[in-house]
Amino acid sequence: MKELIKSFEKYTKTECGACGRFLELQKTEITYLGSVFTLDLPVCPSCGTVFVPEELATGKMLEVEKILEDK
Amino acid sequence: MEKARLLEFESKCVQEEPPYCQAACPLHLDGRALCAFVREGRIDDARKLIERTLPLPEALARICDAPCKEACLRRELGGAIELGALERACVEQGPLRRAPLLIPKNGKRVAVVGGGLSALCAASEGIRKGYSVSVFCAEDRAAALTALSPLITDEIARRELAWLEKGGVLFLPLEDLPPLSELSVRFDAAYAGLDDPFAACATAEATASVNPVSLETSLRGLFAGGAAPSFILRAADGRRGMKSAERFLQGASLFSSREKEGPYATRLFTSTEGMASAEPEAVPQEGYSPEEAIREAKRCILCECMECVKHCAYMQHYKGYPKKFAREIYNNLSVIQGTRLANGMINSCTLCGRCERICPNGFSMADLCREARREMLRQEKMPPSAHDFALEDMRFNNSPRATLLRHEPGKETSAYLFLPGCRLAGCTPEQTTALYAFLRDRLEGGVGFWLRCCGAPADWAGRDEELHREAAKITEEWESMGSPVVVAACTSCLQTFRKATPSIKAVSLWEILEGTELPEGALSFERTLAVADPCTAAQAPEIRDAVRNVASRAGVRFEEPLLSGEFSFCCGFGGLQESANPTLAALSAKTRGEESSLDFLVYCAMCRNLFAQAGKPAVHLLDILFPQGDEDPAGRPAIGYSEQQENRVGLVRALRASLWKEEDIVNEPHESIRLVIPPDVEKTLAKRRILADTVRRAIWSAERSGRKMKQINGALVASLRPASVTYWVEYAPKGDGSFEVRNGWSHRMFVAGAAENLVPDASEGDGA
Ligand code: SF4
Ligand code: SF4
Ligand SMILES: [Zn+2]
Repeated sequence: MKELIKSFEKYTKTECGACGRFLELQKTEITYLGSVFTLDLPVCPSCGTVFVPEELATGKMLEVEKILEDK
Repeated sequence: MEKARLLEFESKCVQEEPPYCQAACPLHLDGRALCAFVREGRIDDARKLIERTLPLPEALARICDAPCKEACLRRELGGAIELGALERACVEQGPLRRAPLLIPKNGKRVAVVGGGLSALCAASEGIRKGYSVSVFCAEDRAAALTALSPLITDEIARRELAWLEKGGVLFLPLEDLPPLSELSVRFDAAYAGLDDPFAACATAEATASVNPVSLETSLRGLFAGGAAPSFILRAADGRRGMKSAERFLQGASLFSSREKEGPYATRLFTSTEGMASAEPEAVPQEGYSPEEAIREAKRCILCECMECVKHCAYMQHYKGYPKKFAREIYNNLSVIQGTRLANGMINSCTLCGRCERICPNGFSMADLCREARREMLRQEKMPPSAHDFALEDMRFNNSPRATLLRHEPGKETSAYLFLPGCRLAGCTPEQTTALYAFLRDRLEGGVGFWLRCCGAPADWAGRDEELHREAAKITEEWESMGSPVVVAACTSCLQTFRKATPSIKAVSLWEILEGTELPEGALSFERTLAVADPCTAAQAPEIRDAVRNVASRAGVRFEEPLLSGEFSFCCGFGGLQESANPTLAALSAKTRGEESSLDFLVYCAMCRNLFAQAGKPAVHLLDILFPQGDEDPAGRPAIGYSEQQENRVGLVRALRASLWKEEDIVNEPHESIRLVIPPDVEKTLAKRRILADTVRRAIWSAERSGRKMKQINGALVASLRPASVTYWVEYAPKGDGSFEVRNGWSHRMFVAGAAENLVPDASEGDGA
């Protein structure tokens, strides 16, 4: 997981289309079926828009979704 | 689910009932397990089984008269399995373990009168119950056993007796037997083995009449048996007598639920259909050699039911049979904290109902899974990912863009109302148009057009409320058309109508076509096909007949596959299997495809699609009656969800413009987005269930609001959360105003700040 988050650093080169600023890793709240997690995700420092990378959505996130759905 | 309901389901499945031989065996030796061990050469395990089941294993395995043979299912197929000879071979091929009993004595004293087979079996049962057993018998104890058969040598008899002694049995001389009147002073209970003449004589005044169930005698606490000529019945009496002693000592009833103690008829069902007959292996004087024993054991049918599991890809995938599934589902529904292991199983059944039709007791997995789905919804424990996609698709199909309800052009009333169904309209819109023209031409009194979803997905998902809401709308729409006869092209629609709106008179398109002249220009089809009935026609023989009639009249040659008619399986679409478990759905279609080497002739658009996906060539009967273009219809690829939705919207537009001259059709703004999707991206999107319509909405709102991400390689990323899924689309504007789609992914988790900043489409649409 640590390595995954570290890999998100490459998204600090991604730019928020609305504000023109580079994304920064920030603590972000994620919720599903009553469970709450926090995770460092790329976020626009100006407007707060969060970016969820493909590898997170189709990997760890999907895994946890499945686990929570069977709880 | 109530426990009583579970029991009701469980009791219908006989798969766990004992095999015929075991039920018929007075000591219930599991002949099936024995044969299974022997045929694999696991003689050690076979011996353990014998040791566990028989009170005097070394002796009984050699001399059993095998009354089980009467009940053996092999009897009519060559001859009953020689179980007696097999047992003997097992104990002759190696030593028994004869492990000492590790049962603590409980202080109860039991007397056994006599030294015959029955008495010794009673003694063996007694020490297994923890009793202190005293056997009163003649001095030469081995003689009573060796006299039974030359196969019991002195050595074998001594081993049996030694094991009893090691287990704590006290052998006392006959003279020490107290008078009957004093027996109860020294012992808590007693058993007399009447196969020993001394015992019969010594207890004669009490054993003149013995109750056959409890083996009670006229003396309280004294039980007696073993007078039968059959060795195994004498042994069984010893066991029964000791059970009675146990009940007597516990103060329990001597009679209740003892039906299954002796031989009984099992409830097991085993089909021997198509099974070849096989002669028994002759039993030589000296008994079976190891090879002969294996050959004989291989004749065993290994009786079980599994009727419903044979051919069912779903049950095979979940590795079990309904009784086991019922328990797992019950446990799943009762989980308070922990993992619900059966969610996937509950949501993957196609609900085709074939199991109920094939089961000797009518067990319905469909009923069980449907009840479980309803309960999961009530408990708010239904995994959202299971059926959401299909339900969203249903809602789209009932949204204004994808629905249409009109009288025939130029008419004010309808005698008929043609309902093509979502799949046919979505997969073959031109054919739907041609079919509608044909029906207007052949039927009198006006043929209206009705495109909408019947609500089957809600029904399959267990969402009764949503189904009833749709049913109310359906009834209202139907009445607004003057309550015409509905002509349904899809058997699933028909099934759902009959269930949810039984007052609506609905017939199958095929019954209508059966009564009309067929269209000109039908394809002349050369190859012989195999008719694959949809599961939703399994209970509609009139439709199946009509289809075969129409096909014959159209000159189609066809055969029946392995399982057709009422025994048809689902292609994998039904019951939302494809939504909950796409991999399994592909397997269902593939398994069905293997029922015939011929290409399939189908009459359900969903079946056609699933078969095409699984690589099974399938021709829709409408492809023959209303050919579109001249390529072989069996080779047509499956139509994905995006394309189906677009086709339906396109069909509604085209019909409104061409037939009803309606020009007031407004596009939703996002529909102006033109997409270029490379084939590999299209595949990814389809696999991840991201529809082209969603992609358009996402790009449209990103472009309008400016809220998007710009990646280092210049590509843009838009996101959108129309309902409970957040979608991400990577794209790049092209010079000509269109957008190239490069990738797409999604997640269900809610990430604050991920999509709520992007303004979703404000106009009317699905799921927003
Ligand atoms: S057909 Fe299936 S449900 Fe019915 S008894 Fe046999 S295994 Fe059980
Ligand atoms: S065929 Fe085998 S399992 Fe079936 S009754 Fe005979 S011995 Fe038992
Ligand atoms: Zn910003």
